[in-house]
Amino acid sequence: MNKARGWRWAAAALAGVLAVAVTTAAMAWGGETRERSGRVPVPALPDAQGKECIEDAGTMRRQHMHILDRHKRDSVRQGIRHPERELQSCVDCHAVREPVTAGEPLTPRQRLAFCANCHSYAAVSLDCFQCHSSEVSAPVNQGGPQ
Amino acid sequence: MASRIRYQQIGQQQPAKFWLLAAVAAVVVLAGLGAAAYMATVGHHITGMNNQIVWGMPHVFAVTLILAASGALNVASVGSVFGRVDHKPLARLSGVLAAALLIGGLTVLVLDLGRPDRLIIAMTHYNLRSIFAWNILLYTGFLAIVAVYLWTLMEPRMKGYSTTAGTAAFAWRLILTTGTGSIFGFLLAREAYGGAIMAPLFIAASLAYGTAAFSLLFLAVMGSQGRRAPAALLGGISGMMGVFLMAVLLLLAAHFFTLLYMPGREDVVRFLLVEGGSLPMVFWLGKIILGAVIPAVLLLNSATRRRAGALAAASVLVLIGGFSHIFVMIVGAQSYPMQLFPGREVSGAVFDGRAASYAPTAPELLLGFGGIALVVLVALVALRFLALTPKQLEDEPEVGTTSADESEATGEGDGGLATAPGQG
Amino acid sequence: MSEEQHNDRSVNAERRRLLGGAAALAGLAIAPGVFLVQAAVPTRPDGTPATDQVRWGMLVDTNRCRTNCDACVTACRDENGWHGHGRPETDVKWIRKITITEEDGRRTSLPMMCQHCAKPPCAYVCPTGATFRRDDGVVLVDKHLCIGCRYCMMACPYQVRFFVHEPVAADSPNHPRGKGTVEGCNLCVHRIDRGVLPACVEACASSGRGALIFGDLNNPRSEISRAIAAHGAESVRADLKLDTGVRYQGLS
Repeated sequence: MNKARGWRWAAAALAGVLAVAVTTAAMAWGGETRERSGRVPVPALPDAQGKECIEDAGTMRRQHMHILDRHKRDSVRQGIRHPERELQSCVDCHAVREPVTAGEPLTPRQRLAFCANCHSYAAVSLDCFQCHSSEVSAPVNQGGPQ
Repeated sequence: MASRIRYQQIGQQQPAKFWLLAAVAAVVVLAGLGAAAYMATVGHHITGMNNQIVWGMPHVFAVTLILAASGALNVASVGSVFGRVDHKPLARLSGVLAAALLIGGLTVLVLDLGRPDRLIIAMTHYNLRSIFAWNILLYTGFLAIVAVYLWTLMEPRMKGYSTTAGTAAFAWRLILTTGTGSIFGFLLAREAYGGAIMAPLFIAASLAYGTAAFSLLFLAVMGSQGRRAPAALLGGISGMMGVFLMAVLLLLAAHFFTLLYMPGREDVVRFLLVEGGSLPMVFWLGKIILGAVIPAVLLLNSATRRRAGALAAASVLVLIGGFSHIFVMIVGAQSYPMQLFPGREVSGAVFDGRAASYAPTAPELLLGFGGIALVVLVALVALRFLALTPKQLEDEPEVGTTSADESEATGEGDGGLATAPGQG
Repeated sequence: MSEEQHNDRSVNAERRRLLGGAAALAGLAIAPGVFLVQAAVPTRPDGTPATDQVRWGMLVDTNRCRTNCDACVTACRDENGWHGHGRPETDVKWIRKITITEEDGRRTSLPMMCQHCAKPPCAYVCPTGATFRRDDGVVLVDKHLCIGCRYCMMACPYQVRFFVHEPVAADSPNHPRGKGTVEGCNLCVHRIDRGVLPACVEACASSGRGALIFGDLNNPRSEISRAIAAHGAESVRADLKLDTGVRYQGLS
């Protein structure tokens, strides 16, 4: 009796885990294709200025936080500079440009829709820009510290 | 060996009174939290603290509470380590108050940080060259050791370890207060601090202020039950506090005389004790007259030293004195102009060469009082749910009969803990 | 020579790499307002860490520093974005001018900023290790780790560290700043790492009287080392023996 009940529990648990996994995979897939919309609108990612990133899109999607974290430690504490890995370089490439016609200036969130849309979709807080500038750097600085 | 001691929870006889008190404390705690949230949102410029006085009222409150926390364990140590049997029944109260005071002090300290949301960084990144980092370890360790010590006091099967745990707690708090004093002693930039003497000065201060805090809790607990503390016990606590108070005065005098004796340092003593705006008043009136002379008379004079009222008054005064002492130590040391070019007249954009002034604002004061209220709240909850209060002390004078009946009723409700026999 | 001529930040990376490793040479005034700056700072290639082969330092010649000039202060503020809120007690001042008045009325003016000590009390006391000394001698705050306890400000004998009391607009890509953390002069690491002089030094050379020399104290042939060897220099509060990276001439 006890054994049978134990198996039932295990089966129920397995079914639950599978259901969660399938749903997550489906949602993740939906996120990549951009076209499918489920209950939650899939994040729209504005186009970047440059042609290619420092890594392919899949790697960046999964690893950008580690790349940034590593670069943060290396550059701040040891002075190891990699202009292409600087957060400012990300901003310079990915930020939405100000509209040409005069109007309300973009909010940091609008400017960094590339970051903000996906972060809110994934429910991950984004605190880089509490201190870092969300503005595209002046031409003299552009391209990171040269 | 005295007879077995029975302990009880309190607060059940008069629940309305108890919960009203707890509610008042909770409201003040909430006000303090609100003040901290306001400071964290708007920014520290709404406090009186600035780039000259970088540590202000929150630090005065926090350091005073932390010092008192270490000293509040005195009565327990006297019982467990030094074998005074009449103090032993009070060890549980003593331990719980020590933990409550530390929690209150640390909360104030943490909520004043520029980035309180980054507390996790303080817990995960240690610069072991920093005495501040060591203090983080010493404070958390103190809470753990006090918890174990309380366990050995309250769990009959652990009774045999209470002396060991008490001794460990005693040693730990001496190191802890050495660490707290060294936060200031290690600063070569501030002339008001005199290096190594900060550690023993803070130890003596903690013993005095902590005993005062304990006395207030003890007398309040007894008073709330309509009981009277035994005169011998009161005399013992008074004597202890009086001696510690004298030790503080002695070390303080040694500190200031040492600075006075050094030609380069006499100016800072003159600033703190004579010329520095309201600082000399805080020192002489708050620390010396109210905080030392009057309580010393009350504590050491044979006519008053065994009286509960005198002990209560002396304890309040000693705590006022402690607060004044820490205020002059922390704020005064920063008010004294930094000597970038000693002996020369300087002026500059950060008020170079001028004494800095400090006017605390409501939010930082609320945060500080919120910390005190948190101590009260933690202590109240502990008293209500743990059997900390001895039912009958050795040689306790009888006062009526009703309270005895009530406490009997509560004691039964708590099973093992409430009736745990203590070692007399 | 004219090929090497450039103003400040618009350095061509290629050219700078070619010049990398060259000894620091002085800004040379050939006419008022016109400067030849040759590889102002020896550069370190991207991807390599700062090392203790170099020790950055600054020399202040107080004989050249004028009381009414604050070119260095303005340049630093614009470069690093520490604009105030009109509240002198809580506003941030990475660099400030100090005036010493002698009993005979003689005045000495000098800029005061982080002295970049070899034995920095601020870094010693920082509980999280947010304040640290980079291997090339620059004392920095890693703001990702700063919890805003202000113990470093208690420990610093020069009053050159500042707590950001109010929310700031994140408007300078050169130096991210945030409320609730401590900051101070960083010798313009973002500039010196790409071979450009700190903003204050550049401003003092162009609109002041050239009272500031920046360079490598470890290199006996650097301009700063030669100037110190020739005329001597002292630390402020030399009695504290902190071995400062910023030195002064004409103080006593």
